[in-house]
Amino acid sequence: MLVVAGLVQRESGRALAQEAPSDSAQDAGENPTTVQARELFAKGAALSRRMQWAEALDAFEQVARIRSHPVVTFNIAVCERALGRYTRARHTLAEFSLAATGPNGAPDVPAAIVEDARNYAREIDGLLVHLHVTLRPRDARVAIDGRPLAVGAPGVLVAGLAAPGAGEPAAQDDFELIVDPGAHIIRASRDGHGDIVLNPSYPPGVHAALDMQLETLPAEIRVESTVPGAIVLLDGRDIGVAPVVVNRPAGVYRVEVQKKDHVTYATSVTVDAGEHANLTARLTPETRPLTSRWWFWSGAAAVVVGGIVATYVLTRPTPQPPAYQGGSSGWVVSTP
Amino acid sequence: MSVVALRNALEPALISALVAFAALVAACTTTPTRDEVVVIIDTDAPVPNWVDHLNVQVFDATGTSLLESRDYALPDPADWPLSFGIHPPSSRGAVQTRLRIRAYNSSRPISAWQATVAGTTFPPGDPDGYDATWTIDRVVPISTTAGTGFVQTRVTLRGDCFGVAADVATGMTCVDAPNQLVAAPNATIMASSSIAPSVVGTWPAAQPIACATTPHAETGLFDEELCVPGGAYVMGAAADDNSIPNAGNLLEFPERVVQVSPFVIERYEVSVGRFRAAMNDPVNPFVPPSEPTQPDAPIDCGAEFNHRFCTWRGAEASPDPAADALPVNCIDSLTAQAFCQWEGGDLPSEAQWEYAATQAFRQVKSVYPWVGAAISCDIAAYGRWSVEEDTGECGLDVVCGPLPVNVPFGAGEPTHDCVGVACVRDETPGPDGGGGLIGMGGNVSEWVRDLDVSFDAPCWQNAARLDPVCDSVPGVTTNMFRGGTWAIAALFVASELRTGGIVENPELAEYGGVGFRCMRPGTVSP
Repeated sequence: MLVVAGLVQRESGRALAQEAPSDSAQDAGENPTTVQARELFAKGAALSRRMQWAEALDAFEQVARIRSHPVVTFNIAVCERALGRYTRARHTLAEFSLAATGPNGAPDVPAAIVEDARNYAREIDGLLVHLHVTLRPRDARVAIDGRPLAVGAPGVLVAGLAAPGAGEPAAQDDFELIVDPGAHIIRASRDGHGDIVLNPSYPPGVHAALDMQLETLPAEIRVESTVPGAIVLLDGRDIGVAPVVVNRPAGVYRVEVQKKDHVTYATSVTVDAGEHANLTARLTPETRPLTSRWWFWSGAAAVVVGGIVATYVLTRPTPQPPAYQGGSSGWVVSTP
Repeated sequence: MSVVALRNALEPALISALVAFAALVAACTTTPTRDEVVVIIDTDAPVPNWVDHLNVQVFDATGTSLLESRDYALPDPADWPLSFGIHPPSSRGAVQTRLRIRAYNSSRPISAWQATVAGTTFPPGDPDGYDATWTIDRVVPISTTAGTGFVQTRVTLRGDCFGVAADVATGMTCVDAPNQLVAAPNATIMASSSIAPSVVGTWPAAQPIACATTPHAETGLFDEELCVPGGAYVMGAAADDNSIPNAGNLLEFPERVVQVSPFVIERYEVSVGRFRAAMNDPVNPFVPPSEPTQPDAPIDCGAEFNHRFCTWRGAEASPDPAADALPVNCIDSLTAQAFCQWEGGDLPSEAQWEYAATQAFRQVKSVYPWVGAAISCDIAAYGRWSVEEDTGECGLDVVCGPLPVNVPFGAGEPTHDCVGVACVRDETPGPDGGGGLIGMGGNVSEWVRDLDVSFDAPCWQNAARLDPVCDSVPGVTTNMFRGGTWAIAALFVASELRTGGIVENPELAEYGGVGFRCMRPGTVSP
């Protein structure tokens, strides 16, 4: 049953259900927002008579934003029930129960409406699907039909109530999940783990188990170079020409990027499971060392001839500058 | 020439030769150096309760081109400070760059709703995907000249800068003053040396400030006081915060970092017996601006709406230990505030109330006024509203059903068949909470000093960080109230939730859902 003769209006802070609007009321200078609510309510009622539940629901929700009233809440629940959105309808009926017989307003809602709401709630309770969910890891993000889960009673999560959006952590590894009967797309995801996407279909009122254990993903290391044709070494092994992407287990890796006549780029990278590390090796042209000059060795030979000490000193390898320090993270950035 | 003379002649030459050799060896063993700036990043914010991740972006000198970035999980204070190196393209040269460094809290990701508003989704490790209020954002230009060798600079992310977004392009950043953006000063370059210990956790605002006031002891009127130590916390909630079950009305948004001075708050809501004792005080009787409403029907589970849940029985009522122990309700905020002022205190501000409920006695801010996310019927009096007119069962439509609910404030035997404020007892500290405040989660909601305006109203936006209060707004006369009630569903017990506007509808105020407790300023230990 939909309440089509009710109207949201507040007078002296008290919510009342009244008959449909009359021209005389508008002529009397009624509050414009009340007039708007009245028109939207009538529109919703008309749409519901034509079984256009989605459009009717939209109209009643607009009314609720302007003027909250238990009758409007009840009508929203009826539309949601007709659309098969049982978890939302049950939630809305609970709101109705609080508003209609509870402390927040306590308007004069007809007993028949309260009784209808109670019957709808019983009916929906028999239709809702109860899933015992096992989720590993427990902080995986779960979304059902593109909506995160909402918190119900302790240890119980409810699908279909939250606004559309990405999955949110359930923060529980074993919990009861209440969903509408029918087909759903259930997605569980977590950084470093492969997504689980399920498309189950549940008959009304069924109790079932849902096991979602996400598998750990490898880490990805991507290495690019500012100079084409550079060779990339991972822990000393040639893994190809940059850019190159490799998957490895989580851990610490030594990355070197080499190119002839360029200073070798070397760093270590720590990657966690599922993490993507992007490195860009900025290779700079190498200055030819002194030892590669012909006159160096000629002069050195002359010095050798000159004496053992001089030979020892001058033939020592040119000391290399120390490695960059990189700090505690080992991360070194080359600036342009 | 004798041997001695020969030795004397050769010795200086030999020494000179050895010295020359040593000098030559020393000259030849000098190690070439590189130019490198080691950036040491530290914070004075508590780790991991305030921040546990660090994101570093390295830009060119103009801040327009991102060169590289890294994201680090640093959940242990021992992880700080973190350092990394920046060097010019070759081994010697100037370093000209601009850094954007953000310390943030990975347990505070922005909600799907906020991501929708931002128009994008954020991959893991992108600090834009986390709550900006819990983020310290800093821009640091670095400029050195060639030939400096190994040098270092230290950047300390100050807790005073929580929630102040920096702009890497303009170089405007918060450095060390609350809510102040300044042109980012160049990093101070120092000679390389050992890295000084971290200053994690030394942010002055977050240091607990011991309360030195001696609280009043219990006199049998439920008037015991508790001293609340001062400290800092994030007041309010992120929009559509999914950690709060009742997300969506946005009254709690935007969040703000608030510093609270020590204060004294009452352990219980003001009781009927205490209110009557004040009115009958032989020396200085309290004269209420308007006396609380009395019930007009016996308390039962099936009656029509009336004032049956009001607990006040008048100033002349005979003593009744059970009835006098109930929290006084059906009272307006002006009368509640007058009572507290008559006692030498005031109503708590919202900042004080939320701080006492969620942060003051805990390391991590809690959703409910006890440790942990769970809510159960035996630690809070909520969900006792009956919809079963015939059976008289309490709260059948919510989770707490007919329960072993204790009688008021622990006096008497448990009962299973009552409803309303007359049959509740709220042990809100929870099994391992601390603090000892009773009734913050359920029982009755409580009037606070602040008015019914959104957190984005000028009154709040212009409020000071220390002890903010919004109690004067032109045209607004209704107060906020905080905390759940015996009648409300579990959804509404979360302590960050705000409710207001009830005074404009006196009938609603009289259903028995709102009471109050008092506070008075504390003193700081010397």
